[in-house]
Amino acid sequence: MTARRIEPDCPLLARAIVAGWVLLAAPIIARAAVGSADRARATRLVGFREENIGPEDLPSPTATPTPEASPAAQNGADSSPSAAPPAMAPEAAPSPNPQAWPPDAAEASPVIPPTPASGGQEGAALPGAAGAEPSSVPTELAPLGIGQMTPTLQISNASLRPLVASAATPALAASLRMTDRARKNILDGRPDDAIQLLSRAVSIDPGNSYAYFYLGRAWLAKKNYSQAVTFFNRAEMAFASNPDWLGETLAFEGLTYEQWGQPQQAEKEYAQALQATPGNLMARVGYTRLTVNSAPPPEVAAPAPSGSEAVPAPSEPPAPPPPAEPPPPAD
Amino acid sequence: MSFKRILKIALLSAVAVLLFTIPPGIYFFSRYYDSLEAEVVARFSGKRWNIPSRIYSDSTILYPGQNLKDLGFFQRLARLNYHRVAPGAVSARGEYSYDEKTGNLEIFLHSFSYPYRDFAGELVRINLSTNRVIQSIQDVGSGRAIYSTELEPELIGGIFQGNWKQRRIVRLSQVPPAFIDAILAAEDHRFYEHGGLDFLRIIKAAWVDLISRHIREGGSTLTQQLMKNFFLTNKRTFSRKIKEALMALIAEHLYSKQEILELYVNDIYLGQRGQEGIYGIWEASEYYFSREPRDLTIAEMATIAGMISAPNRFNPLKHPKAATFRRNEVLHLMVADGYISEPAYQQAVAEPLHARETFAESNDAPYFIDYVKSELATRYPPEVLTDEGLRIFTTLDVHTEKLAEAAVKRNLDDLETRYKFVRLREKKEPLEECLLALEPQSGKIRAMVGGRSYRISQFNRVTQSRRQPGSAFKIVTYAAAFQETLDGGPYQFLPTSYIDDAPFTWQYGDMQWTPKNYKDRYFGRVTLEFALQESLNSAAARIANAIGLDKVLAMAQRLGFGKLPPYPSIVLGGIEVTPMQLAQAYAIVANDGMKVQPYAITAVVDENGHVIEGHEFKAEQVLSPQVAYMMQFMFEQVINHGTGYGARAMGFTRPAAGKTGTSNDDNDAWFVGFTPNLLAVVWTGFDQKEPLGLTGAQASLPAWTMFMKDATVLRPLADFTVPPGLVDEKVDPLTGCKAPPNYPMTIEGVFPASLAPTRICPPLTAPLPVNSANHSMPAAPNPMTDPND
Repeated sequence: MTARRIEPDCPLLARAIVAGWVLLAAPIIARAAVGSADRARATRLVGFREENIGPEDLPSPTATPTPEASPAAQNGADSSPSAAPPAMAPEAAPSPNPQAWPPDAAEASPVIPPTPASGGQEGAALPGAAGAEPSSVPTELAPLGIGQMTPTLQISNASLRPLVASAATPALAASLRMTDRARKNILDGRPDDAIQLLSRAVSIDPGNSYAYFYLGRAWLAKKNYSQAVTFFNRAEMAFASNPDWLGETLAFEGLTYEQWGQPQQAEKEYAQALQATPGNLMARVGYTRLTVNSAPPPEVAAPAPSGSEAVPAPSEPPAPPPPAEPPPPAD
Repeated sequence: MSFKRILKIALLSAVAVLLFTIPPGIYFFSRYYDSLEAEVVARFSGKRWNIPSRIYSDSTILYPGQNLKDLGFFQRLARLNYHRVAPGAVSARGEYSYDEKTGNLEIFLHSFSYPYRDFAGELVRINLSTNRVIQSIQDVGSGRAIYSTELEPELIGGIFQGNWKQRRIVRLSQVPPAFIDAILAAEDHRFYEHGGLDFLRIIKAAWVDLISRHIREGGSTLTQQLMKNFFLTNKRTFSRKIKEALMALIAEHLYSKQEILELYVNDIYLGQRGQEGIYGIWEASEYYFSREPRDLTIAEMATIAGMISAPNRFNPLKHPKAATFRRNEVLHLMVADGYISEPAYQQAVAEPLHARETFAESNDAPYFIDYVKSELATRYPPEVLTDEGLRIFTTLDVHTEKLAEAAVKRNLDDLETRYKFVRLREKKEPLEECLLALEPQSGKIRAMVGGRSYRISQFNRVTQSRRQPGSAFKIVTYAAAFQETLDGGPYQFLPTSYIDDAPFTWQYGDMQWTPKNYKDRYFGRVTLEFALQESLNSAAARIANAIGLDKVLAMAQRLGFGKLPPYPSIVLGGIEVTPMQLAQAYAIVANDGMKVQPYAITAVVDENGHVIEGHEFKAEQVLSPQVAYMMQFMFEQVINHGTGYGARAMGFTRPAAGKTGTSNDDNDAWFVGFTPNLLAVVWTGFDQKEPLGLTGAQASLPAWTMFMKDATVLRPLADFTVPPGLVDEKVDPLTGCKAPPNYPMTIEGVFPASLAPTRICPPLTAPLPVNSANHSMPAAPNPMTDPND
C-alpha cells in the first residue's frame, strides 16, 4: 500500500456516495431502533401451558369416612342428637336453606320449636315464643309435649358408616361409601361433585336407594325441583319398609315443594313424613310452619334474630311474611 | 498504465462495488433477520403444538368382594401397560406382583389426572382369596386399609388432524437432572457454553465427514435441532441449514438456555406406536418403560437420549442390540463429561435393557369412538378437538366391549355354519349384527358394537340403522294398556286379564288391517301374559284397538320413539327404529319407569385440568313403577317360558327379562333383554334388506345370551323388586278369582292393589278341562278341530 491516502478523483462523487450511504442506512437504523422495542416486548415469555402432573400426593381415592362430628356452625349438632341446637327454628319460612340444616339462622319464624327433653333452650328462640306451649299450635297431629319425644335430627346429614358396615353385599358397601362421599359434598355445598359421585354409585349397585335420596338432595341444592322430586319419589318407593328414611325422604320432598312454591303439596308431604316418623324434626317444623302460615298475620314486625348464631337469615320469603309470634289459639 | 494507476482503479472499483452492495445487503439482511426473529418468537411464545384430544374409557373400581377373573383384571393391567415383577420387587409405578401362594397382589398404580381430582400413583396391596376374590385392600405407604381403589381409564382413541402426534408437556422442573445430562451428553454436551452454534463441532463434523467421505456426524446443537423441528418439511439443503443456524443464534440471543431446553425435551420425536407418533420425553418414557421420567434409571434415560438421533434405529423395543450399544455410548459420553460417576457408569452399563413389550392387542372400540366424536362434533368446533389437548372421559368398559365383540363374532360364525341359506345369501352381502349394552339406571353405555367389522363397514348400526322392530315393539302397546288401566281407564288390562287371540280386522278410516300370527296359529282366549310370552300378534292388535291407537302413539312418544304415523300396523312394529331407541325404551321398563338418557361422555377436561363439560344425572318418571314392574314380570315370562327360552336353554340363569322381535318378511331379527342392572339389544340382518329367514330367537338371542352370561358376572346378582302398590296373587286362570291354597290350577299374577282380585274361588266340584302337560297355561284350542284356526 502506498503511504498516500487515496483521494477520489471527484470530491463531489465522494460526497454523493457518502450521502447515498447515509440515506440507505437511515431506515435501517430507524428500524433497528424501533425493532428493539418490539423485541423487548416479545421476549416477555408466555409460559408453557401447564399440565396436571399432580406432584403432590393427594389423599387416596377413598379415605376412611370420618364420623360427622364437624363443629361447623352449619351442621352443629349432628353428632349429638339429644342436644337440640339452640336455634331449633328453621330458616326463614318459605325459603329455608337445606344446607344450613340444622340451621342457626333463627330469625323471624312463627314456629314454636318443640322443646326437647334437655330443655332450657327455648330462651334462644323467638320473642313471641317464650311463653307459647307447643300444644297451642293448631295441628291435628299429636303435639309433642315436654319430655314426650325426642325429635330426631336429619339422619341423612349423619355419616352412613353404620349402613356401610351392615351392607348385605360388597357392591352395596362400595356404593354406599361413594354415596357417603357424595353426602359430604352436598353438605359442603358442592352438589355437582355429589351428582358425579352418585351416578357412579348407582352404576356400582343400582339397588342402592340411598343414592337416589342424595340425588334428590343434590338437585334440591341446585334448585332443580322437578329433578329433586323425581329422585325423592324413587327413593320413597325403595324405602317403603324403612320408616326412618322414608320419613326423611318425604320431609325433604316437602321442603322441595315448599321451595318450589307449592305449599299444598309440601304440606301433604310433611304430613306423610310425620306419619312415618313422627319425630322427624324438619317435617314437624315444616308442617307447622305451613299450617300456621295459613292463619292471618299479626301486626308485629319481624323480630330480631336470636343471639346464638352468627349467620344471618337467607333471602326474603316470597310468601306473606311470617308472623312474629304464634297466632292466638283458635279458641 | 502505471501500476499505481491500475491499483487505484482496482481499489476504487472495489470500494464502489462494496459501497453499492453493502447498504442494500445490510438492508435485506436485516429484513431477513427480522423475519427469522419473528418466526422464532412466534414459535416460542405462541401456541407451540397442536395437541390432539384423547378419549378414555371408564375407570375400573376395585372393592372387596369382587372376583378378579370376572373383571378381566389381568387383561386390564396388561392393556394399561402394567408389568409383572417378582413379589417384593415392586418399586416403580406401572409394576405389579402377584404371589399366588399368599394371595397378595401389589400394584404400584400409575398416577392419573381424573376429571375431578388428581391421583398421584400409589402402591396398594390387594389380598385375594384362593379363587381370586378381593378380601381387602391396603395402602402400603400408610399401612391402613382402604375400601376401594381405582384402575385408571384406558386410552381408547384420539382426535387429531393428519398424524396422531401424541405428546404430553413436561416442565423442566419435572425432569430429573440426570435425564437432561443424558440428553446433553448424547446430543450437545457444550450446550451451556455455546451461543447457539458450536463452531468446534461444526469444524470437527466437517473434518470427520470429509475424512470418511459421508455424513457421519451432525454438527447441530440442540438449538439448531429445535429450529429444524419447527419446519414442517425436512429439506436438508444448504440454505435451510443456514437458516436454521441463524435462527439458532437468534433463539439463543432471545431466550434462556432453560427455556430452549424445555421446549426441546417436549418437542423431539422419539418413535412410533402404530399410527401414533411419540413426541417428547414424557410419552417416550411412558411408552418404552411404562414410567414417568422421574422414575427412570440412568440407563433408561441414556437409552431414550440415545434415540434422539435415530429413533427408529435405536428403538429399544425393535432393535434392542442397537439400542443397548447406543445407550452404552451415551453412558460413556456421560461419564467422560463428568455427569455421572464411574461406579454409576459401570452399574448402568451392566444393566440389561428392559425391553418392555407393549401391549399388542388393540383396545379400541371404533364404533363407540365414532359415536363419541359425533356427539362432540355437535358441541365443539373441529379445531378445538384436534388441537387443544382435551381429554374426553367416556362410559365405555373395555372388557365389556370385548365380550360384546366376541359374542357378535361367535354368533355370526355359528349362524353361518348352521344355516345354509345364510351362507347362500352371504354371497351377495355379509350378514350383519350389532350389539348395544347399557346400564338402565345410570344410562351409561358400556359396549357398542356397530357391525361385524369396522374395517369392512364403518356404518354404526346401533345408532344409525333404522329397521323394523317387529314384535319387540309390543312393549309400547302393553305398557299403554297397563298405564291406562292404572290410570283408571275403561278397560282393565293386567297380566292375567284375558284377550281373544283370534283373527281380527282393524278398520281405520276407509282402510283395513288384518294382523297375522306366526305360522297362522291362533290360541283363542289367553292371558295377556301368555300373549306376550308367545308373541301373539292378533292379541296385541286387539289390545291396541281396545285402548285406542292414540294412546299407543302417546306411549310410543313417551318411551322415546318420537312422533309416529297413525297406522295400526305400528302396533306390530311396522315402523323403523334404531337399536338405540329400542334399548332406551326397554331401559325405561328396566329402570322402574324412570327414563334416564343413555350417554357416552362423562366429562371433557381441557389441558389445564378444568372440566369444561360434565354429565348431569337427570331422570324422568314416564311410566308408573307398577306398570314398569308388570312389564318386567311379563318380559321375565318371555325368557322363562316363552320365545326367549333359548337363553335359559343356553345356561343363563340370572333373573332376566326380554323380548324377541322379528319383522315382517323376516328381514330383521331382534332380541332386547335385561337383568336388573344391565340391558343389551342385538339386531341381526342384512343391510340391504335381504330376507334373513330367521327369527329373533334364532339369530339374535344366542348373541345376547353369550354376551350377558359373561358380562353380568361382574355385577351384583339382583332380582326384580316389586314396588309398593302391587300385590302378587295366585289366581284361577279361568275365572280370575283369588285361589285359596292347594288350588289345583293357578297362575301367578301381579295386580295393582286397587285392582287385585278379592273374591276367593269357590271350591271345585268337577275336574277342570285343562291341558295337563303344563297346568299354568290355559287350554289351547286344538288346531285340527277348532273352527277358529
